[in-house]
Amino acid sequence: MATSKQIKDPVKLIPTIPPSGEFDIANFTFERKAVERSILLKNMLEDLGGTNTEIPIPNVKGDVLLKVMDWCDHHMNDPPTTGDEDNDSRRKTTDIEEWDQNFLQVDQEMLFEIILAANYLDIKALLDIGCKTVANMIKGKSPEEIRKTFNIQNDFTPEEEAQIRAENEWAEE
Amino acid sequence: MGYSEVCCQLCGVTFAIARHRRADEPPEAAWDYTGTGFISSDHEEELVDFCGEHSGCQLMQHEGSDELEHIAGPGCMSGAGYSGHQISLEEMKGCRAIQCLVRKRPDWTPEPDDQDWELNGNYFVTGIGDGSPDESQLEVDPPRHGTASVWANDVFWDHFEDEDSGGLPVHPTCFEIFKRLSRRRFGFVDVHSLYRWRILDGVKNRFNDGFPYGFAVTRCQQQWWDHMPGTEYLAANPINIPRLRQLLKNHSCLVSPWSKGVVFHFRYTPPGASQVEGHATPPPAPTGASTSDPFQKLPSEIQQMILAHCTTRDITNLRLASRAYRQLPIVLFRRLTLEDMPWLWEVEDVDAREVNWFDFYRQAKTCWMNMKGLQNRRRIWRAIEEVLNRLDKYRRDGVITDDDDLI
Repeated sequence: MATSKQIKDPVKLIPTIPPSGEFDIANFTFERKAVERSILLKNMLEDLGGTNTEIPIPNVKGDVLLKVMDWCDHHMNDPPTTGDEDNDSRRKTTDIEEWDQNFLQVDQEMLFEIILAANYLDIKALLDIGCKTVANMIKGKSPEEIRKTFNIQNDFTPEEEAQIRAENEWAEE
Repeated sequence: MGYSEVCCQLCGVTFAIARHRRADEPPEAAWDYTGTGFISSDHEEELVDFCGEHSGCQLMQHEGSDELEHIAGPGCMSGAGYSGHQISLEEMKGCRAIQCLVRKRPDWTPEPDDQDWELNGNYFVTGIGDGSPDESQLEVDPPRHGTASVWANDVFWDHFEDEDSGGLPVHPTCFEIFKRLSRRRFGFVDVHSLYRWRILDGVKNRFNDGFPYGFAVTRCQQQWWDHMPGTEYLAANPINIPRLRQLLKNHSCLVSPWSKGVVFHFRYTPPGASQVEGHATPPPAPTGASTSDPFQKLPSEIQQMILAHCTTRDITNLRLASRAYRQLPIVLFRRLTLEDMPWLWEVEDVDAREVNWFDFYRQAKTCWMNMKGLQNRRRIWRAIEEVLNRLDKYRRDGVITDDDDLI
């Protein structure tokens, strides 16, 4: 974490929902370059100007923020994405680099929280691999297996289920 | 050895396709396997034996001949040619066309109509010939690079010194599909690997023995092609498909509020809601934040981002698992059309804004695929994908290299 690491250009992110356990603000001090992986925070930093800035982060739990910033820290030197590669990369679902795959080996609640945080903070690459990871968890599974994987309670009535099956007729060859 | 037919090295179908004309068609709408005669029969009993009593087939004196021509009735069962009642002349256009890929001779010089792969590689394609070469020299026109005739071979014996004396026979239409797929997969037209593979897998055996062309093709591949009823699509032109372009042009898929039984077709707008919030069918009542379904807690743009990585099958299964996916965005079906029916390449040119892609997808899949040309295109596309898989594997294993020495 950030405590023992020399940070050249620090930015403090203050989660309005603190993490579980003891809260140490030092853990929430990050390299500016890592923080700037979030387009939302990058724009805020530009607006604020100056150094040693503190930014309050609502909507993202402290634990999730730490996890997200882990990812930003690892990827802070990645070349910026243009957005043009979106269409090409879209179908290559399994293309998630090993570090990211390990990074997203978290419990499901955390995975969805990371996706929501990436969306809120506007970290496109993280949002994308989060969605790919979820899609990979869906791939090749039956409806029952999907429900089991995502802990979804089946509350469809038999009539609703029959209707959806009938609607799915478009996929049949 | 007797008569044997050379087949297209890409799709497995013979060039020696024959046709029985209907009674209302002109004599030139019929031809036999040689392409020059017509399918004859000696007497009525023979017709009844082949086609049954109620086929409607008849024998007709052929103009300028003493022989009787077998004219197809609606129930024609002949295996000697495809019936004019089952496939039109227009659909069959080019079914006997054959051209060969040939190695360049040392004195080869470029010509104005050369394609990039010919200029940059060691092979060129001949002009077009007709029908069943029966292992004799095939005459081709135009005589590209001075080649007016060529051996069309699909068997190699145990000597390689003659490997360049023959050409690799293909349907011009299949070769067009090969070029399209090779560019898409490898970024260039890999005729070199195709040619090498043909030698590797063609030694001593008929080149395409054991290749998974599908049951219909292997069933029809007899000494003379068996034109089995129901396999007419094998002779349909896979590129110029009558009516398909018109269908695509007609914008027959524009949103129609009159269509019945549709799911995502038009938007249902609940009272007081904006159009953006509207749904194709009324959405189920939300079960609230207490739901265990994580998908329902995601904003719709993220729900759709996940969908963007899912296949058709995954999407239908997901709809049965989560309420979040009762409604699907119509634009999703453009991607699914391109992914599920990649052979329908005309889709890339359709104006994306004007089409109800859900309806388009369904029409393409359930209605248009019954067109013989499109059915054949799908078959050829899949066969060539398998050819490319094999080329790719041979290249990865180092069996095929860029080195052009004889194997």
